[in-house]
Amino acid sequence: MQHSPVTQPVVAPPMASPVPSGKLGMWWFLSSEIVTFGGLISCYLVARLLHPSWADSSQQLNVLVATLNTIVLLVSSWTIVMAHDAVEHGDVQQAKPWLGYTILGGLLFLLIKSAEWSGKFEHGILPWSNGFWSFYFAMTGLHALHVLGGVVINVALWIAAVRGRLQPIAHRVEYAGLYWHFVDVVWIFLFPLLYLA
Amino acid sequence: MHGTAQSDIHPAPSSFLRRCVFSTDHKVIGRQYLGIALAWALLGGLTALLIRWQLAWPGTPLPGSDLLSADFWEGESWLARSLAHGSIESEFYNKLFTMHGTIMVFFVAMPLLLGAFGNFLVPLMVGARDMAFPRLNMLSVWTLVVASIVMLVSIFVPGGAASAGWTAYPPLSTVAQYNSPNWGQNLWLLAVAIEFASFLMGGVNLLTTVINLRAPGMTYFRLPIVVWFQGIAAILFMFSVGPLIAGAVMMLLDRLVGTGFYTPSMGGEPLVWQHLFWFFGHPEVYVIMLPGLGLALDVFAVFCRKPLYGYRVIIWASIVAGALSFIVWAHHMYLSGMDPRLAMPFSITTILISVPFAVMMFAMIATLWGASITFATPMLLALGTLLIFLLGGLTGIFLGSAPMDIYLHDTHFVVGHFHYTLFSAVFFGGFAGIYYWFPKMFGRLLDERLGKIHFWLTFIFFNAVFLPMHVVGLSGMIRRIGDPTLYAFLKPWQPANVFITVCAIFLTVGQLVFVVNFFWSRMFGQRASDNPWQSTTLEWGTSSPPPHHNYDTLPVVVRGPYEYSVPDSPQDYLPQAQAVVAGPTGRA
Amino acid sequence: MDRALAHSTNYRLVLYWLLGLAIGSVLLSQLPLPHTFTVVLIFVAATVKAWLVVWYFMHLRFEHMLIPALILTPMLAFAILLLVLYPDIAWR
Repeated sequence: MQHSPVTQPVVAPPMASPVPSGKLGMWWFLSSEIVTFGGLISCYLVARLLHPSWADSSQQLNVLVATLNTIVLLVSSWTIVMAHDAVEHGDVQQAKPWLGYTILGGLLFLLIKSAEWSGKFEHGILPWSNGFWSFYFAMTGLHALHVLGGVVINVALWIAAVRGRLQPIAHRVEYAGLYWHFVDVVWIFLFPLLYLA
Repeated sequence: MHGTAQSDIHPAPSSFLRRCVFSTDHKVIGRQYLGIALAWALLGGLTALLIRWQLAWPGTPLPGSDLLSADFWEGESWLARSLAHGSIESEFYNKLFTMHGTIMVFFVAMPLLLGAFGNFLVPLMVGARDMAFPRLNMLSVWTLVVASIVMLVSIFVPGGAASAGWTAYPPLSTVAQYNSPNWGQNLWLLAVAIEFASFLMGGVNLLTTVINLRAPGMTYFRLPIVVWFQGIAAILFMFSVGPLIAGAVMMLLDRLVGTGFYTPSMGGEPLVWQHLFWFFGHPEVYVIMLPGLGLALDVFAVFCRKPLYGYRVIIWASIVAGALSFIVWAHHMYLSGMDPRLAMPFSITTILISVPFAVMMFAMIATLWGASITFATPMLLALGTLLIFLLGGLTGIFLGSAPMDIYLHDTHFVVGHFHYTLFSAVFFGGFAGIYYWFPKMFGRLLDERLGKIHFWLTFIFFNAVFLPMHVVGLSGMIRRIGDPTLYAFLKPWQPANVFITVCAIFLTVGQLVFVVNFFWSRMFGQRASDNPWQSTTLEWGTSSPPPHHNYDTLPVVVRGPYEYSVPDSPQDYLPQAQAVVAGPTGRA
Repeated sequence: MDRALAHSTNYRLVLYWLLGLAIGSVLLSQLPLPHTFTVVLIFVAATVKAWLVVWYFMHLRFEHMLIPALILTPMLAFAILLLVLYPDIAWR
């Protein structure tokens, strides 16, 4: 039982921020991810500056394959924003193929990455081969885990679309998109850091 | 979407499983966190007693060891392998202080202050029906349960619990030949990582709730200090834990895969771990400090029947302290071998951070000034928070200055310092919160007489234990040594160690008073009305305990949180959501 | 939702810029130019790409001030960590 509520009219504006809760929650999560990857990247940056010889190891990376992977991820970033665009324009059904392309993009990225890794293993390049490789495998590995997570989220939304049940949760396409774009931005920095610098 | 769903009242779930075990109700989840924290506190307290036993009477078998046969002690049981005929050897001692620190920081302080009070209070205090993401909330608490199970398992695996300190510095923590626990240390890393995930989810939930789910009229500067401090703590956690997660990934890879992130021979650098750990570790202590202080501050206002002096100043001070907390961390590393030129800037920032906390202390004192104080148990504990934190903060200033820290680092002076600061927030602040909000959580009041006994025993024996530690620390007794009598210069101080241990035993016995009070009052305590403390904040405007949907009608907030003894008001206090009183005959 | 009408972002154009900058960076890295110059340009390009994704794809241009604050604050924390790690680790 509560005390009697306000009995005279009180002008009380709504207090929420203009950002919907789901989106705000996702941005808070992404902000913590920025420091997580940021921490790993700072360690790599300072270690790399301390060890100029790591450039030799970096030369052994296949820039062409990684460029292909970069293109795949950038395109998949575009496809998921198109999915969101479809939802925004009220065409929820159209989101399904765009989500599908995004998932394919993510899977292709992971496939190419695994091929890259197994290639390295076959040449005797392992995470403990030297400091550069330790960072390379740790950073791309952590990133790949995040890509996998993103693929899982996108698949969940795609399944909902296939079953015709995307409409009530259509706003989540945007939130999944935010996560996917973040994963893309991390790669935008990892790629030059590891392969080009 | 902006809280419009809040106006629907969903019926409460009916099955036991959905109501009490897998509940999405923030109040149930808050109580689950409380249970987890208090259960772990028992184990954390046990490790403390064992540490003190060893320091007072090194090598003496634990009481009751002779009840077990010699054959048992020669055997292969976990207990026999851990203790040498009942006495604590150095390897086991290392496990004890490691687990004590880990348990107290990650499994008691955070679940109690952020998990229990954050979850239970914040939705009620902002005037919402639940957190922004109730199912995520359920996931957070069950993730903590998983982390707890992993940590418990780590104690019993071959090799036993982790033993590299709660700080786990490499190479001790990464090189197998230096550190005998293998799976214990790995599982320790995993458990802490899972715990971080749990609190990251909680932080996302709490911050979204505070920003988006406030009731109409609840502007930011009408929020109780509890909510402000929980929010700032969540922000500090969210922005500081990332680098340590990165560091923990690197440490796990070093241990499991053989990478060399922290191994100099492989081009790695052990000091990086210390930077990553303390970059998180320092904001972490404020993640613990602020919610505890926040609980005490709210209690102050109620039992002084006065608005909190300098409400806005306190908020700005805590924001400044939070920001500064990101640039003080290397004061834990003055002696680590880091670049000595870093010592001066970090000394400056560390001494600076005492200023906002001093501001908060002065605000608390000013609140007391001229107040009509009721010395109920919550208020006694809140006063204890103030006093103990004051002492802890003062010793912190010495430690923050690099020249002094060169002498004091890794001595018991540091142990005394951080127990004063942490205990003030976790135990005095946390208990103040428990005694004050117990009626709201459980519908009954804790016994006041037992409460006062509990307070005095805790206060007296806490000081008896930790004040002398500063002295033995200054005299050169270093941390993490299992047998002080091995050092000739420490032998004269052994009576002090015995004294501290005896008082620690009494301190522990004093907590039994609380345990008895807690369980007895749960069943037989005096039933609580909606607002037994005559408080203004929103949670006291609904039943004790609140219904599943918190409020029959969502409150509309018309005033600030501490309208006590308002001049010219016919009422002693003005609840936040109560109608504006229209004259001498106006009644609530 | 008026946002659908308000923003007329040409997502495809943004994609072309992203791809162009990516491929351009790779080509630049293969040229025999001074190393520091190349590295700086490549990171400028990466920052521009990241900004394009965040501003257009993540709709930062339409978001309330709160969101940029949520991005900038952790980046500040990252910068602080880097600033302290650098002298301690890289200058040895």
